[in-house]
Amino acid sequence: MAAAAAAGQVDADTFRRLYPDDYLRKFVEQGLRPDGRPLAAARPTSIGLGAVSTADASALVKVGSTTALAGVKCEVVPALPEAPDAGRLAVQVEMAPLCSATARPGRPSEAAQVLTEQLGALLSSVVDARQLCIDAGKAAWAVYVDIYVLDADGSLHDACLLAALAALSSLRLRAVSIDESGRVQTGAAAQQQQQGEQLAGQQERQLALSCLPVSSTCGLYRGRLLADPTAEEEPLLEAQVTAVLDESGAVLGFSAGGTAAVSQAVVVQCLEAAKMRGKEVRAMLQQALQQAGLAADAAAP
Amino acid sequence: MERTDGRSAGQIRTVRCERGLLTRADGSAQWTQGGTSCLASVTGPTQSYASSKEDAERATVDVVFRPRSGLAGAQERQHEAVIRRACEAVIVAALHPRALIQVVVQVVSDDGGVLACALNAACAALLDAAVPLRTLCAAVSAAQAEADGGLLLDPTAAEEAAAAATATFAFLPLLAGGGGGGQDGTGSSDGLQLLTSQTRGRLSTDQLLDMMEAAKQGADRLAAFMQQSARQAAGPLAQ
Repeated sequence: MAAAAAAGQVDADTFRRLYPDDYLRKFVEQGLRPDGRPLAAARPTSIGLGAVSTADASALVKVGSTTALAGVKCEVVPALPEAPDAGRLAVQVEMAPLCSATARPGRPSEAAQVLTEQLGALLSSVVDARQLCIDAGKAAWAVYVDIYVLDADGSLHDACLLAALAALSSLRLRAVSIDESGRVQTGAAAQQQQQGEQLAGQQERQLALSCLPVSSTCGLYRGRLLADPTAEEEPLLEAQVTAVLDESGAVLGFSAGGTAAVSQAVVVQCLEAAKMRGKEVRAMLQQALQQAGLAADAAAP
Repeated sequence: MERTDGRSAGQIRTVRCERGLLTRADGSAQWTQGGTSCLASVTGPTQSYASSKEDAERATVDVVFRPRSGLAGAQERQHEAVIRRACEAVIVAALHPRALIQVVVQVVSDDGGVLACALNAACAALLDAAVPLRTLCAAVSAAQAEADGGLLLDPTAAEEAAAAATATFAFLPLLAGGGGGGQDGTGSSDGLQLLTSQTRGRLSTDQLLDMMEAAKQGADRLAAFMQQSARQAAGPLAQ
């Protein structure tokens, strides 16, 4: 290693850029992280509901400087013949070039596609598709959840899932009415029409979520676990473990990967950490919903 | 518990591994587990086709996962990411700076557990291509049956569809004659050596840990088979 660094001729910021691994190691040996956190602490998290006024529901989530914006758009679509009593939920994660130095314009990156796939599978078990049915065999809701990563500073899965969950739990499906000719009306007009005539359709209602999963990512670095790693720490980690647990402690997703193998003790530690983090985040979400006047019975812990 | 194909819950389907099927690749292997089969080819270490894929200190691994039919979508990209990370973990990448090792996996038939089969095929193909490996990697899929049903190892597509949760795990297995997990000091005393995990569906934490334990045992058996088949292929050289 550079003699200059040892002689103290290099300032901290240069050292950080030249020897990122040594830089992180020196912190971790002291039981700290470069941003001042203890090893097991997540970054400060905030949830802002209704950030986008043109969407049916939206949420802006910040975990440290990682920022994810989720928007939900609902549309009435004809029911699919193969699933007449079910609606559709489509999840899409977008990582625009502005989110990090490594993101490129053009085709969606592998990271974005992997997130899309993981969150799509997760959210389909949170939202029962039969709930999105309006009139069996005729009409159903298609709910599009678009998640935009505005700042990719590590642990994207956690922030994206929380943003999607916050947006979905604040979603109210508008009133719908369908007349004999199949004309669909939504919103206030539909409500009036429904009262006047006996039309097929539904009143405005809240979307009920079957559970509130919270994701927690931990990184393994030189035998120690770092909770909620940043983009600076992520490439230096030997392995990354993401556990998704719901309020009853059930595991909805457990993904691990890296260049080193993970022991059972680490698996148990990560599950434990995810449980603690889940409690904290769900309380935060509950508070955000209450502030927005949207506290739902279904979302109660 | 009896399964429709007569296996016990912890039994893996009949495994077959054929090597060197493709003449234009540096190494190839077809890995078959019951009705699921994947063909993997390895090219490299070779020159990188794009400078953005080069790493000055180690070889990069590029994985292409081709579904049985149709175009590759988000799910295939996820499989690629999983296989790439597992390959990176077993390849001694520092031996070939700036080089590229390309792994292509083609699904031949899919009857459940396709990701595990693809991971095993990729590892067998790396062995066939004589890419320097630190150890082997072996993958096993598992399913948790609905309600109070038990745990099924290496489920078929029908069993996967009926399950409450499915998972794929890859491990650095314990190998006969040294080698294997824990070599590099990052290992552990409990010897789980979990390299990759992907789960879908709802599980309790105990079910997850039981699943990992059962899958680990299955992976050790698969790795022993992989090692044996490599020895056979090497013929007199191995003696």
